[in-house]
Amino acid sequence: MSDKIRLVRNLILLGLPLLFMMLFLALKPMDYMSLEYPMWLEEKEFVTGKGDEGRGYETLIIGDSRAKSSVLPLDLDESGNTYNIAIGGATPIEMYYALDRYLKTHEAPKSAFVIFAPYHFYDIDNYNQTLYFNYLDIGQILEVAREARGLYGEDKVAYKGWITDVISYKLRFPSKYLAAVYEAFPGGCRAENTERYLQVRKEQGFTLFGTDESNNEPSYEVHETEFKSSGISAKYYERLLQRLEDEGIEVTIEQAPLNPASYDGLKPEYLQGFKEYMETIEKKYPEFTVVREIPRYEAECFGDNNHLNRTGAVKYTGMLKEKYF
Amino acid sequence: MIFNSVAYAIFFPIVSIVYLCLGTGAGNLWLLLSSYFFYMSADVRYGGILFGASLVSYISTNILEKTDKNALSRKITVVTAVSLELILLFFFKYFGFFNEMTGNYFEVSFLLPVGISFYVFQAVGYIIDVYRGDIGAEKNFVRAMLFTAFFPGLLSGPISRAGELLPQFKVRHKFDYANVREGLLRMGWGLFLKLVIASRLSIVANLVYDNHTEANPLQLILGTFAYALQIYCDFASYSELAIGSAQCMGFKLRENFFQPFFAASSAELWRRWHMSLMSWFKDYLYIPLGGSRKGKIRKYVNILIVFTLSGLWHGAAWTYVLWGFLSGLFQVMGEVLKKYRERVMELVPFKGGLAGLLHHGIQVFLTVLFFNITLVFFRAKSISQAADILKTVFTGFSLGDFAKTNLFEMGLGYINLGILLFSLLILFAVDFMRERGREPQKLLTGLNPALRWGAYYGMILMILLSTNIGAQRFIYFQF
Repeated sequence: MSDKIRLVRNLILLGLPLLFMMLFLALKPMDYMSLEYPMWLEEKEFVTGKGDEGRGYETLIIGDSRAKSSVLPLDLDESGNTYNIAIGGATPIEMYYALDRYLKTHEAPKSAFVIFAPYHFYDIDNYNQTLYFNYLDIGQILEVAREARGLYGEDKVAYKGWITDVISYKLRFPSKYLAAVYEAFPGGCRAENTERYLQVRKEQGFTLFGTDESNNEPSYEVHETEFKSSGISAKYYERLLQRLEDEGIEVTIEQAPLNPASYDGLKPEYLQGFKEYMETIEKKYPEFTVVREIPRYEAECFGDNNHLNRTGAVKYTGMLKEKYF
Repeated sequence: MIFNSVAYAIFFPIVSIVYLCLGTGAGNLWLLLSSYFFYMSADVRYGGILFGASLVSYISTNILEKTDKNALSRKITVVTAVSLELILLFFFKYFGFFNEMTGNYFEVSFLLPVGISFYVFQAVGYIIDVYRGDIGAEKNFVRAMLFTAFFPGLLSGPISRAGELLPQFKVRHKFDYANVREGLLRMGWGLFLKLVIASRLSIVANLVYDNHTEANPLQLILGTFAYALQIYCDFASYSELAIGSAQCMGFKLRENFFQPFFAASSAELWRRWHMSLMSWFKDYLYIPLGGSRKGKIRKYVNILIVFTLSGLWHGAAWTYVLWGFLSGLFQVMGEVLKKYRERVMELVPFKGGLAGLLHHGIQVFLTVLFFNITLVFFRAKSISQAADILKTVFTGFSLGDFAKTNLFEMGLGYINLGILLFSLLILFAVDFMRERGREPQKLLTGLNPALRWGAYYGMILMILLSTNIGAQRFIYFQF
């Protein structure tokens, strides 16, 4: 055996533990991932047509964690033709690709509700989680980085070292996932994750985040002084809306409620900036229904400072049903 | 780009495979471009500073080569070139420190390029070597630039000498199984030192030093010992990775550590610790200052100068300066007390055997102890923090601290503490074998295949399972 072949053989043999670890991490994510993961997985499988054989739905709920925890599809539409494909921690970036995936595997829905926290029009606070959960494929990640060039938020999606991070996540390098493994084991968390997954599927995408019976802590937006609409997130928001329009989907842009402390704490200039942005959207898409006002709900409707609890979700969904159905 | 990163795991195989396939000229150009890519991946602006330092050494050494040995222009050239290199170092590393001393008189700040102290010293050594006529100037631009930029030692050494490294760029390196195996083994050992040991020790040291006011004296002692072992494993790890990477491509870099914690005196410890830097100071500062040739007092002053400057080399802060000074002071004290210690030993009736071993053990213990005392200044954020810690240890220590200190409450749980202690045993065994003149890697490769592969897999698993623990960045990067 030549020295070169011997070296290659030995390197392969030495690499086996790494390979086994990577295989475990890639094939058994439900065994070690945090409780957020089943929600992402469920959504990704739903929009790609896994589990429902690509059955079309009449209405989709699109948005971030506020949308996810605010709209109960089965309350909104008892016929079961509504699905909440919002994700906690998502911005319009993830939602654009979710819609794209959905439209590739399903018939276009008749209508869609689009609900994002004002904060998510410019701030990308969880993109690393998107990479960590391997939600986007490589082509989509590269497209995001390309689209972000020169825009506000570029540093969040094409930060220093993002390429090696993407490689590490895609190859399931242990350095990225060991913390979760150590957290989950020795018991593992497959049972809890599976239960969560099934719960999300049963409720057609609806997920609770906060579990408080009442919460009146201010949300992150009260610290904001300026509403910025020039970033990569806003760009994807408009791509998302354009895609919905191109598909002939009836779009309603709604706002999720805030608790009294959050609502009252919003800086007037911030709120004004947000409303002006919504106005430009309304002008650009005159056939869309655009709600600019953010509802103010009592503290008893909130499970944490950002998200409705079930009482709040029932109330909000009831309001939507009364208004639009 | 750091050695323990995915980026390096991609970069290194590509660079080394391509290099080993190329001829000398193209290979050197490839290494030069790769080295700049390696360096500039952290910050593109770093490339300009490295290029500047390399260019000064290239131009000045070639001028020196052409000037007459006794010509005044020769002296002017060497002074100008060394000054330019040091000005570069001063502005990028020390300007902030001196500006702070003047109450921030200048409202500017400079970028601190990683590894600047290492490559500037390497370039200065090269210029002086050519000036002294010890070696000729390298006329080939690529080779000369590569000497300063060669990526394995670029960020944290070992600081190479031109006489050793430059000739290696003239040789065509081909694939050599023994070299690659040896290089990979050293890289594996380096990763083990960093990820399995140093990163866990960093948790203990950081916990103690970040909460030093709440720590009891025993915890402060343990935290300081943990830091001493951490910095040893951290820096030795970098050196192993650098030397191993170079060896895979057929290059031989200087050794940087030789079991420093087996040293029986301060002077010996410093001959075993960061050897490439200490020998640099010896050859380019200590000896030109007169070394030990001009009487004892002058020798002691020279030692203090060298160590104080070595402290300043490590970092632009008074803590480092004081650390360097104290290290020198302990060495001077060792020298001064040497004859008295020898007289005391003459009075001891038992020599050799167990008594000799005990004597040696006490010497090693005291050396490590004094090293740890100085290290408090190295690790502390300020002199006052270091003083606080030392005061607490020297005035507050009591045996009752043993009852109040729980090792499991020092940042590591049962499993990580167990892994750490087991790994430290391995480190001790390896260093002990080396100390006894045996080569552990030869022992390992000579084992029967089942045991050898068992050891490889054990090491790989421990490394893989440690990739997210503690501090992942190398301490010496900041220098």
